[in-house]
Amino acid sequence: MRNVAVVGAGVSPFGRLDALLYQEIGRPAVNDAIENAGIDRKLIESCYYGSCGGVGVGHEIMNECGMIGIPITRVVNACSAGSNAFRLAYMDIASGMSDCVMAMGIEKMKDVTMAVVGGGTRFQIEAKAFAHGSPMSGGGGGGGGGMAAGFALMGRAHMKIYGTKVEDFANITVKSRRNGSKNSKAEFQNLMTLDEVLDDVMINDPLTRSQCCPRTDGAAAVVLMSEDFVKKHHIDTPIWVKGSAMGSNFGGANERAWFKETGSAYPPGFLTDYLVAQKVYKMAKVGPKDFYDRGFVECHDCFSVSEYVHYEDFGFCKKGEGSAMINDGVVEIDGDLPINPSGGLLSVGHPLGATGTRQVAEIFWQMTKDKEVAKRQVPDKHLDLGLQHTLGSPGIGFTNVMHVFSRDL
Amino acid sequence: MRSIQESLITRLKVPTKIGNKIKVKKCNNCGNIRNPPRTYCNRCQGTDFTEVTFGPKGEIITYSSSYKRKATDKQRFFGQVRLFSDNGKDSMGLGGTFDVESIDELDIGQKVELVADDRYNIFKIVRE
Ligand SMILES: [Zn+2]
Repeated sequence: MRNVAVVGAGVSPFGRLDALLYQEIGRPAVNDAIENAGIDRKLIESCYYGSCGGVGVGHEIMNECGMIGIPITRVVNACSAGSNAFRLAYMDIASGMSDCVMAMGIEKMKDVTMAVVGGGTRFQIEAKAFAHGSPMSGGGGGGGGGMAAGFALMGRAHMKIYGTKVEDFANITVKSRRNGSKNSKAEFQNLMTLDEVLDDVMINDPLTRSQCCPRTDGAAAVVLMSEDFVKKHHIDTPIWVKGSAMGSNFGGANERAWFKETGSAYPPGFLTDYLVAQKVYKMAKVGPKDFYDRGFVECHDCFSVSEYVHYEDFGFCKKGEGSAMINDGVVEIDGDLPINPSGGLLSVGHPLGATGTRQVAEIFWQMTKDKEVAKRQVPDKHLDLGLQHTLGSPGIGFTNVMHVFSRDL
Repeated sequence: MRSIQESLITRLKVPTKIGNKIKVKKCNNCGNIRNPPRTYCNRCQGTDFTEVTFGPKGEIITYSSSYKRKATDKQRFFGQVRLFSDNGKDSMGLGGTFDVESIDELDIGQKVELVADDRYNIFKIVRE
């Protein structure tokens, strides 16, 4: 396989952008990425884009940006769509097929439905058995708040098994808002106190509203290049992809497999997170400790509970010890292991298809000390390694994608 | 002769809820529990099954409260229950709604029973 680098990134402002056309949201991200890379757009040979709502919108955007006739592939894989598009772009170059590829993601959330599979899945059959509406559907019957329900159930299990407090989860939002206040692209740039997070509207106990990511619109794009092209076009700050891994699993309690792998009876976490982390660490020849020594993380904090269990499932601490990570400031920008310096999904927002490429953009900008992240710059000693992660639930199971980046080849 | 469509259908059109119990299939090859029942096992692709009856006894795996869209909405509580088979040898996870008034009545490990209801999975607390 060939070496592949990220050489430029662009992100649109994130927020409620209903009044805008897809082209109006996506074009600035694509053009900014090309300008950030400092290349001629004619070099781009193909494009992969994540979008769960808009059919063909990436094709339209690439056309509007003057890249006509190249292969363009839409990736629909729920919250992992953008990461999955990035992975395909990486594979396109690593395989030798292309030398310069764009990975993009865009979403207008009003066009997205999570009811992506046609009524016959185990998940959907079971959902019908909840009296007064399914807590997972998010609509009708007053059942629940959508995806929040599953993470609330996970949080409750964690509290029972490990004595985790509601404050521990809520503190993740406090940290997220602090970082988001330094991100001019974030949907939420306001600070919140612990009491404000805890006193917010209850969605599904223990998750209050501000512990759930918002339904945000936005776009993000990155340019990838082969090692040959990096040299040929004199790219001075390439950020190398050192590992790419992906996995899938049924949602809910895969109890037996979880027990076998981790020794824990009920999964207050994600088995796929654990397994995919092992895969990506192996490919990149790193371990969790390396990120303490010289790295940082952009991970899928769709809910406070999800960021919390990622700490444990990625091996940054033992199962049940995630509280110290947040309460002792370990994961702050100036902490021992900065996690989600951008503000993450909780504050930046979560346009499904755009999130993965938005995370890669953050890692690229942090590692190249771009002016875009000046207010939230991760300290120098942590800029050698970047870990990117999304967790998607395309209707029934989970799709996880992870990447490791390095400044050194 | 069966039509092509018929030969592709693998759902078992049998009622799974019988009063406060659920009838499901257990794979004779690998022990996998199939709910809802199908004609094949999704773990080993086997087609040889034994019928096993689960419930009404179970215990709470985890729980949460519903989102009240309007202040006047009734507060509901839902979660996952580990439902035990008649002979106590097997268990399976089942989602449903708890027949309680407050989240304080719920605890992980709390004994519950499935209520007879054709449409919904409703669990009541078993007080010892
Ligand atoms: Zn089987």
